[in-house]
Amino acid sequence: MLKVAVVGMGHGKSHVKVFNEFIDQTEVVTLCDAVEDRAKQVAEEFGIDRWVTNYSDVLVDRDVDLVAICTPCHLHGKQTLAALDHGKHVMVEVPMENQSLDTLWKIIYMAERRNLKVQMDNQHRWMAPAVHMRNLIERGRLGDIFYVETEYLHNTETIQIGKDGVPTFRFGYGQEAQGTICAGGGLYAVDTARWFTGEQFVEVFGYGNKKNIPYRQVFDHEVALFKTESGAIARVVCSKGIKRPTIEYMAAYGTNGTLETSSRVPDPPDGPGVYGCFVDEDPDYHNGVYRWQYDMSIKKDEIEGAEPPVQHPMKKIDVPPLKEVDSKMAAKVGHGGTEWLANLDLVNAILEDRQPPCNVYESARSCAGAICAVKSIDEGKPIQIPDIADRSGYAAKFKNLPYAHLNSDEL
Amino acid sequence: MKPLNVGVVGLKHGLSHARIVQELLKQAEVVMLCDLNADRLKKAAEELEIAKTTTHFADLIADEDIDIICIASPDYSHGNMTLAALEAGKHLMVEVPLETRDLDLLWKIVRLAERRNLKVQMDLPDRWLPESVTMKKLISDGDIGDPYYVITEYLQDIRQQGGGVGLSVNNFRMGRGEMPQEPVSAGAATYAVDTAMWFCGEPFTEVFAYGNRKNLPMRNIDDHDVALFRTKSGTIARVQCSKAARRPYKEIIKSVWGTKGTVECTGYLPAPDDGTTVYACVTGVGAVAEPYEEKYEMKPVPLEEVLPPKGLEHMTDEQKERVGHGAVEVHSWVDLIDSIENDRLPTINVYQAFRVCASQIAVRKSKEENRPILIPQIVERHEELKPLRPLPFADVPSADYW
Repeated sequence: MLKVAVVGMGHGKSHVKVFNEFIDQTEVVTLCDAVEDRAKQVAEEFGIDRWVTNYSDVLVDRDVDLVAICTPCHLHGKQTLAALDHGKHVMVEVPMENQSLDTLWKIIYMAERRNLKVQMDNQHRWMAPAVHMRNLIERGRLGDIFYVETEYLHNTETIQIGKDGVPTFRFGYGQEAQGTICAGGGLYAVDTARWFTGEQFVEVFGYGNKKNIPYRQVFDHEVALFKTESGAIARVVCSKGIKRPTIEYMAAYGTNGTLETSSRVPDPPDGPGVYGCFVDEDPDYHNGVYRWQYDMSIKKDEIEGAEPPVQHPMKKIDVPPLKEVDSKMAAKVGHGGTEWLANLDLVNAILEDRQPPCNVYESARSCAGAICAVKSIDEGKPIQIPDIADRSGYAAKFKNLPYAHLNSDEL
Repeated sequence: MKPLNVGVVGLKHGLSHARIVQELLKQAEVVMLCDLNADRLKKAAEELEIAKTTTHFADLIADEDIDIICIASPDYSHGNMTLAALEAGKHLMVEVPLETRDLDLLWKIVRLAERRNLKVQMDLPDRWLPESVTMKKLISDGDIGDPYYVITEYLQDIRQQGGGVGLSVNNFRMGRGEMPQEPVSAGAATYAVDTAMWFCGEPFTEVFAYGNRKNLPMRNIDDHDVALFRTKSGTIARVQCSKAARRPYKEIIKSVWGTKGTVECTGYLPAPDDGTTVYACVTGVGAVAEPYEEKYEMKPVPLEEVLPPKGLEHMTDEQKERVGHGAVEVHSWVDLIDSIENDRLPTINVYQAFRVCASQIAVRKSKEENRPILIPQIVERHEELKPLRPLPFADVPSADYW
């Protein structure tokens, strides 16, 4: 039985429910929140004996195997590193780290040295439409991906200040206000875009502005263009002050087809969902070329008389539901039930000593992209994104690394 | 007033312009046609009963009867032809873009048009589409507040155009020994750049762009560009153009996000059953520090009616079908002729064409140099120059002038 500590009782409450009620192999033993009443309230609701207000009390607790970090965004990196330093696996809400590339590297090194598992909870990776889009891309149905678009548009203006009149962490009180592309849902968009391209980002350029929430010191709207190793472009938009219903739009353009979610349009005739078109359904089209392309033997008259190629309308695609998540479950668990699947994957990875799907390398690649996007917005020039190699294969060979038991200070 | 005489060059799309002038406009008539392809030239001349034809552009500009030249040749030739026509003292109707490569040439065009007081209209049908007009009205009325993000795009698959001949060696988009058509810096993407700037309500000052060529690598030129423009006030505009996107042609989106609301022209997917194409979420509040509970919703917006230009109220459907771009070009023509008669700037005048094309040229430069590029700014001087006319040496050819 894995013993879990959940930190941050805002969104963390949903994770308490998941670990306590929906996953058999885990049990929540400690809750942590800077506001004691909040921790106490959740502890009473779920019958948990121990609650603390100081994160270091969680770290020194030898019973805890896994820490779930659901605190404000700017704290995630340091708290993840500290948890690893104390020998604990980590489930971290997006982003894993949003300020320092250095912290990202430290997190990777520490997780490798200690053989600890880290997962950043990008809910898209467990959402049926996104998973199906990714599967189609992976199976090569779109050909070579040349353009990806993701958006996270959410008006947080109304939740900058809570109903009780107290500013929330998004507003920033003596701390950093919540950023845009590098914080909260912005990381869903960045990570999903990268996940669709199936590559690492190598460079980014971005612009930002703050016309919507000018009373904060950070931009509320940011757009970034990422470039991948193969030259594909990903455009990621995040707006925290937009005046429209929340959208998480995704689209992928490949040399053989296009896929997109319908969330932009109120409701196309066939209803909301994933839409796509694929050219390999065209009988005139083989291996990326039409019959008449560059075939110099075809005479001009012949070309002009040729039947026009079949137009490919965007059609609705059947998205198979993800196993087990039913509407009852989705209503009970945060982010439409995806947290349950994500945490289950992490727990299984820990028990079977393998990497979880959104592991420390995957998370770090996306967080590095977001950090560099902000740097580009600040400096007004394109920024190179570091290459982060997945060394999990090597880690298995070097199980007993020297000094693995020492924490960072001692090392 | 004596009708204005028009010469048309490039009789593929130019045929549509020639038909507009010949069949619909009372104030102008086509007197000469020009095309490199003699067959095409003969066919068009017979159809429109025009006596004078030539395969040399030089003959067209040398003809003293001609007042307006309409340029509908491949993109890369527009700039040089425009300059030559201005030099010969002609007004101009130019297909997009005015110039794709040379910033210097753009400045020369502006200066010459100013010196000679000649009118240049870049043909941008987007400005008269009901969807665009409806969106622009919401913005000008202040319903969506201060725009902070604008999206426009032009997606096409040139493989599928013209009955699938888009990639044949004969098509100008492939290059034909000249410059192939670029994504954002050429062709119909000019509509997207202009519309984005029009929605922003201010010129672009800087751009950064990426491009790739995964679809048509054999052209040696990018087939997909994404550009981020920025204005002085900080508004960001994303303009995207793909020459080979695998999706239905022209299903493109226009969207403006403002501090008080959002307006969007659907286009990505089949329109909802009721046929609505423009949706908006208008909140009535700007930046607020207080919790704001109202639920946001994108609601259908009835389209503004774009009335046919004066004198053309009774255009028949048959007449409309004979001209390109949904007969929207008629507005461009009526506007140009009116601007000549009343000595005013046409709607998409040489200054606006400069702003748009300078932005497009900066896109290419940004891709080549991999850095953000500043876009030159231009001041409209038409009214200031009026009391000073005729300007000294206005009629002297440029070669003599220097």
